Amino acid sequence: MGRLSELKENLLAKKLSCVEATQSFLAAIEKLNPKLNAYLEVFTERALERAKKLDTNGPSGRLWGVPLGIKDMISIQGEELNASSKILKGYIAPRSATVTERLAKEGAIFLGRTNCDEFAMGSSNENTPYGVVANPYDHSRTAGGSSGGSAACVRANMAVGSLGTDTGGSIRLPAAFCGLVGLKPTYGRVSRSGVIAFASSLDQVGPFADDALDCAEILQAIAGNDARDATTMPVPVADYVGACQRGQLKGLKIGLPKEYFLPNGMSPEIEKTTQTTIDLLKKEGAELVEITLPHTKYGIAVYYLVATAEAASNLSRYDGIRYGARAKTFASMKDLIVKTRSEGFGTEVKRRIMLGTFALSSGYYDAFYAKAQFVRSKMQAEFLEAFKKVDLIFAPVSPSTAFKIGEKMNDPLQMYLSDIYTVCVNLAGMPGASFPIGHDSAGLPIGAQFIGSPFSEAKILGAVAAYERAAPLTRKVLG
Amino acid sequence: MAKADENEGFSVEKVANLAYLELSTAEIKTFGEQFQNILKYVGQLNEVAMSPQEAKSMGAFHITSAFYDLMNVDPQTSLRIEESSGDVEKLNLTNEEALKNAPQTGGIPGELLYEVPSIIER
Amino acid sequence: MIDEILKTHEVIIGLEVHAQLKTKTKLMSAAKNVYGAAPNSSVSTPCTGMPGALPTLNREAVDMAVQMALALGCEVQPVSIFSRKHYFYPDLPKGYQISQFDRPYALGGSVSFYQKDEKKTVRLQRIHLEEDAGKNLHFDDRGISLVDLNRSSVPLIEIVSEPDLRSAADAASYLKALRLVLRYLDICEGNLEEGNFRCDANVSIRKRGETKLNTRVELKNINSFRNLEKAIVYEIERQFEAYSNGETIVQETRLWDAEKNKSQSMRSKEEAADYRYFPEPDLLPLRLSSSHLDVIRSKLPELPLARMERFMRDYARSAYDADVLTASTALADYFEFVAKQINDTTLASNFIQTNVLAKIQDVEKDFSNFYPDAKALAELLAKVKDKTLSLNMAKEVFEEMMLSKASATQIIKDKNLAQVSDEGALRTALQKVLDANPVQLAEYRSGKDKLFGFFMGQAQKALQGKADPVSLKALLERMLKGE
Repeated sequence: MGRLSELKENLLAKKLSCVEATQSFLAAIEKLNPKLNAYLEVFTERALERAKKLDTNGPSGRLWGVPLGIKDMISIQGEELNASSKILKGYIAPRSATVTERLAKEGAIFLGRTNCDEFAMGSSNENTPYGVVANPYDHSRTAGGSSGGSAACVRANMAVGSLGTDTGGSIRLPAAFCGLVGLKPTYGRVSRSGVIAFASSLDQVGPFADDALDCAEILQAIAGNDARDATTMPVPVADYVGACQRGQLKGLKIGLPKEYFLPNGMSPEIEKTTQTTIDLLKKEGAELVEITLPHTKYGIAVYYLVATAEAASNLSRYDGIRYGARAKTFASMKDLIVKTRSEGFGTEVKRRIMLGTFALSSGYYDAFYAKAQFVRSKMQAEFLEAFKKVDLIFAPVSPSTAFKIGEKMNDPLQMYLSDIYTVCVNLAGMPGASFPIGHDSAGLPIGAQFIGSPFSEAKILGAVAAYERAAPLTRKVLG
Repeated sequence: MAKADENEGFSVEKVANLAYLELSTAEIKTFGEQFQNILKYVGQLNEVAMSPQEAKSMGAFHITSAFYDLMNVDPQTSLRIEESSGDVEKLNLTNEEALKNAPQTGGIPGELLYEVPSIIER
Repeated sequence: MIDEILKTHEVIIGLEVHAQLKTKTKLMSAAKNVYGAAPNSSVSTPCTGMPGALPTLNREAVDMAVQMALALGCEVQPVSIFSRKHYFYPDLPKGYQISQFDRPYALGGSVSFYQKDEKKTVRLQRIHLEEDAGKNLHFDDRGISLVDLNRSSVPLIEIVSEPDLRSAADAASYLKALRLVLRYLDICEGNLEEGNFRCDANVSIRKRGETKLNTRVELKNINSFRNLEKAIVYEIERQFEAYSNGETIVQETRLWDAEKNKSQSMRSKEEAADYRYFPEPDLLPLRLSSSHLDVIRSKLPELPLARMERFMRDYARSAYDADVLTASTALADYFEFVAKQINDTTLASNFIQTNVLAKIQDVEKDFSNFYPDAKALAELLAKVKDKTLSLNMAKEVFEEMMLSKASATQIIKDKNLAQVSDEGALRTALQKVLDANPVQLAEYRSGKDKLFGFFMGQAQKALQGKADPVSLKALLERMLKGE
């Protein structure tokens, strides 16, 4: 049983109070966070106050008393929110994001805001002025990014679940690096209102947890149409928890996209473990079918045009006038804005703003942004076509396991290429979940993903749950 | 029409000016080199042919459009109407809330304004 | 000077009009759409550009925008797209404005108006929806500006005409006609001074007979119809002088200074701004079905030009009269009720123009509480028609009605004002006058025609001024002939 579900049970059975549960996690954070740097801020007093209130009022909501970590991109009313950037130092969110509002309604407790790459731009949680997040398995390695903090805090038992965001793999990659289940919902399944925008047409909020059922509990609370977000869709929310309980691999048609299984596409150990998983799926009665997604190879190129263009646009609002940090000395209004932005943004953010600005600029728009969207529409069409033949797609998440801190920081393009297996899912708007399938010889987790058709999160989680039952992984609590 | 790998037109200084960013000489040099590589990589999109009509039709592309057709849902529900705007109204702010995070304000409490230098550009 | 120039040159004018829509809430947020409120008192997370805030499209704004497009005969597009227009400025909290660029919701259309008796038509290029920006209040002496975001995201429609206008007077008439449509639809206040209705003019000149267009200049900061004409005339003269001196006209934006009666060039930018337009990803494409349009079309009121032309056609009004009487829906309704009630459009038209309009400050605001209302005025004018009152008397009764709020009938009764038109009474009075003035009668008979008025005056005096002058005159004429 995952720790979230276990804790839920124990709280309801009054084996411990909400306050006691919260206190134990706060203690764990105090002990472990200095090494891992998963939390940027711990909401010690507020969390305990809330736990006290929940104990007084009694059980209410599906996540009553459940302590979660929230990525520093998601607003909680009255709490500081930095996007892991200097430019938002001191900014207090005046309103909660819809997702945290819904979690609070279900009785959840927020332990703190978790570390991430600045403005969610990165694959290793190294692009932040607030310090790298260490992988709980090996502190000299990254936890993955951009939601490194959200992954590490759950893995190290400094929370039983957390929220991250995924724009090009930022939930699924850290989930794979940290041995967790991490789900990116269909674009439009979960509200982005109150979530700091990186790439508007790609961002989605999703859960990290030990297993599919724990993720389902969180997703159940946050999914659904939101009047505040015009890109959410009024599609009925499925019974994710029930889907996990009922999940079966038998009879499932699972596609293997050949573009995701090219020679030298991943480390030998990952290749081997992935193949073992495929064999297991077959053994459990799934039908594995080879499919093709021909435009996959353009994924990174398309992503780094569309995402950076939208990011450059979304980050135009950071000018030091209405919130956040402001340059101390400036010669004019323009200078105020230029200095504020130049001092406040880190290098990777500046790089992406530059790239995105160029992609949208006069004379280059057609060749870059319009062309990228065109190729993207083809990718979406390919996925939709594939799902006419298969129920789910199975694929690797990352070419490597967690790499060493600093290893890829000198070459941005190399860092971008680590997203190769995750970006197309975002570009097409499809849902995808990363789940642990084993470890390499260094003991580092290996993950794989199920990708589904639009609004098929129940099917995905059900398949992951079925896999977990068929191949239970022993997991030790890590610090 | 520029091609995706045509980085002759890419001037770091020009783009930085558009983006209201000030880069150091070192940054300009490093970015310049990195962009050369990135733009060259991105240039592979030239392999995909796109007609002028197709380019034009991208103007109306939205990632969810295919989903509306697939899930048989009416996109008109995304328009804000008075009857269902309660949740959106909760995002309305008082003067105090709106100005709380401002680095510099002017005016009287309850009627605060954001303060900026008035000289636009030197 | 201008008349001389226009003998050899023609002026090409296109107008860009921004109209604020009178919606309850803003275009992209649920903050209230207010005017004149305390600064930053009607704001929300989306319209202050808070991190994580998303736009939501106001359906009421869309419907109002569609009304305008249908009223002007535009092609409403089944699918249109919002786009982000990027530039950095303190009154633009997101660093971009949500507008429409290559796919506006309406294309084409036209605006017609009468210039004296000539009907003119100006084609429209497009109409699109966009957010308004906030307001910057400058305090240059203190070196600061203060930003108020109440106006941020208030809905605007931008109406762009083709450069079909050929005179400053036509430009003003076009603008008035456009404004009247907005007023009839009740979707915009149309107040140039308050800024909920704005007009920029694009002006170029060329020698008559040429077909190529020369460089045009944009004129901004026009806060009245009069200033629009003045600014255009000034620009024509400025451009003519420049061309005469062998100078070229620079494409630029000039601000009109109403105090100094001249325009000033805005600090020119090195190059045209690169707004980096791209489709707004946070909003879905706007779909407008033909059934939706049909519903809106069916609810359109009779529009100003149609009403004006109907008055010309069915009520035999001149273009001038019809124009005056349709200056507001309230006035047009007022006139039409009275005219139909007394079955005399000329009397109604003349009386209203001469007497009622003199008392009304604002035909758009003041009719709701105005007395005499249409019914009461109809009652008064019916008394003129049945000869109970002379027209002059009616004017006095009208004044009395305004003061006492009593009905015409009541006032006539109380003041015993009914005029005498009975032939017997008139004949008696006239005979008395003629008998009492034999010298004047003889002088009249020998050619002193002026004395006719003398007899009229004496008879009126005898009847306390209550004689119906028309009947009196006719009878006197007959009596003087010996009838």
